[in-house]
Amino acid sequence: MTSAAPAEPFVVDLNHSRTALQVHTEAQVLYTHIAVRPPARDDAVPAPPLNMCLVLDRSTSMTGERLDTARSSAVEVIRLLRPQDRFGLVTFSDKAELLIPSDAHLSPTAANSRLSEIQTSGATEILKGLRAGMEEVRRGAVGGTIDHLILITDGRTYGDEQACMDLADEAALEGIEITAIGVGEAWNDIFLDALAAKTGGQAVYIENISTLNRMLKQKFRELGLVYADQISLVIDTAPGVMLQSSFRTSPAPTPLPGGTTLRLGSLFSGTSLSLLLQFVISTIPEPLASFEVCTMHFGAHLAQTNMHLKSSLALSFPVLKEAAPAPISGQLLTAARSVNLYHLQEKALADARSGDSELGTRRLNRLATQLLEIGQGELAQSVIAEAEALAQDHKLTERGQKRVKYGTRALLEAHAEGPR
Amino acid sequence: MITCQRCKASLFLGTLFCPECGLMVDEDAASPTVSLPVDEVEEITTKPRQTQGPAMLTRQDAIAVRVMGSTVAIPLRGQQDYILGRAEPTQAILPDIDLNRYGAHEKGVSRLHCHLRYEGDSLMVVDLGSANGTFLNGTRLTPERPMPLSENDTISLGSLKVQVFRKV
Repeated sequence: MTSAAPAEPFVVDLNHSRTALQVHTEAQVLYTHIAVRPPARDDAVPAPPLNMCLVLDRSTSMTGERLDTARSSAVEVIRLLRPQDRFGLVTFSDKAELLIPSDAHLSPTAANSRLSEIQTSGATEILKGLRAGMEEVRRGAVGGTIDHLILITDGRTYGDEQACMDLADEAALEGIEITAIGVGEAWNDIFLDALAAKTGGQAVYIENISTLNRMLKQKFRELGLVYADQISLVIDTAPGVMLQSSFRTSPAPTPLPGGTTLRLGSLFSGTSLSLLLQFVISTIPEPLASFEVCTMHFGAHLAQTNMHLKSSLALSFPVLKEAAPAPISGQLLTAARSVNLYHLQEKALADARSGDSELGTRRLNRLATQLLEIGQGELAQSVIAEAEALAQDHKLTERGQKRVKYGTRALLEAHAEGPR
Repeated sequence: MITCQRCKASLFLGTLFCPECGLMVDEDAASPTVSLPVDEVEEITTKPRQTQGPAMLTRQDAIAVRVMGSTVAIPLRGQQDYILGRAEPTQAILPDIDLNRYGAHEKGVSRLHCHLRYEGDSLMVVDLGSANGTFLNGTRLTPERPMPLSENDTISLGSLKVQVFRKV
């Protein structure tokens, strides 16, 4: 079922896996695909100022090519800044330093000179970097700015994870989005995923540091196209209905934690923000003219006009004795398949962590079969390699499991729409 | 509850993809895979072929498959892998070789029944958890476990037989 509500300032397309629910003595599943987009091309409207802070790990493990590339990438971003943008840079190891204040407006040459002062040493204490970065973003958040923090790290932080999460909660409330970039294989993907997701942001895996430059420039360009940010969806499920899974499928595919309060991040001009929800609905004993699954409360900050918007929508379906399967949109089906594969790898990784190598291996082999069926041979080979490692050594490789995790997530990117 | 055709996991009504094995769930009651009675499914009738030897099919060979009883050769050309099965209009993933014209439904062929793919240099067959099983020269294959193919091997998909051979 599709419905398009061209109510300004968003167009919302809803697709469901069923047009009607079925009278049933057992639970049934309903998938809902939501796509939110701006009403029309809006290129003529000036993009709002960007207030960004880069928080760069300078611990010992960043020595060499990693730090060199991070430095040159930061300079590249500074070259792209518009007069109205603010860009700060914090470095951290077991202490943090504000290297470039966001109101300094340094030339690329001056910034390069400042960046050359960075020396690697010490351990990775992410909380110290995050705190300093957050302060810098807060200083520049004068209203109407796009507030964003980018964390780049190649290591694990120990003992301060919960404090980092609390800080991310504060960031979310203040409308500051966090992108976390993990370089190499030693960083904690579960932690950075959770940290970024709290703010509607994403964690990105960079296997090879050489891709950092391209990734950062792409992020910067995206942020210059923000149409709305701080987008949230609160889902009030009806009694007997459970929201089983929620996943942002575009942009930046990522699972959405947070129960029924979903932080969706930003919507860029000329693109859609899409998510896939999966509900489990318990027994419905008799036909009904209308069964309310949930009420969805949508909130967003319109970047260009600095206005906050809210609206609500109830999701209802008739309940029939015989609800024949209806045609399912390709978009929903593609999203459901890819999200399911992502969850399958999550289960396999959880099996491996809990010591159930046999089940984990079986699940990885099944995942590989599915990936081969959809023509993802290269990713399937990575999965097969991890299945073999798990079967033989009873553990996964750090690199392999990150490849599998972020590789299955990226399956959704192939179907996503990029900024114009 | 409904049952996944491949891994037999119990699933809620309305589930689109099995969370245990990833298979697209076939809830279309109008055309489920026909369950064949046991005596119609080929059990071990010949000795399994040697898996090593000069007759093994490799990437260098011009290979084709032929449904037994048909004179049409279907060449395997230009792809790394091929799914054999029967296409349905509502199916998200279509087989590369659609066996519908050979009575696939009645013969118990699943929508995505088995996979022919190259591993290294060798051509392999993999059962995709089909409802009625895939048999290589009469030996039932374990789902998802690749087996190498040799010239003139017979693959049974339910009760439909295909032969793989080198094109001259």
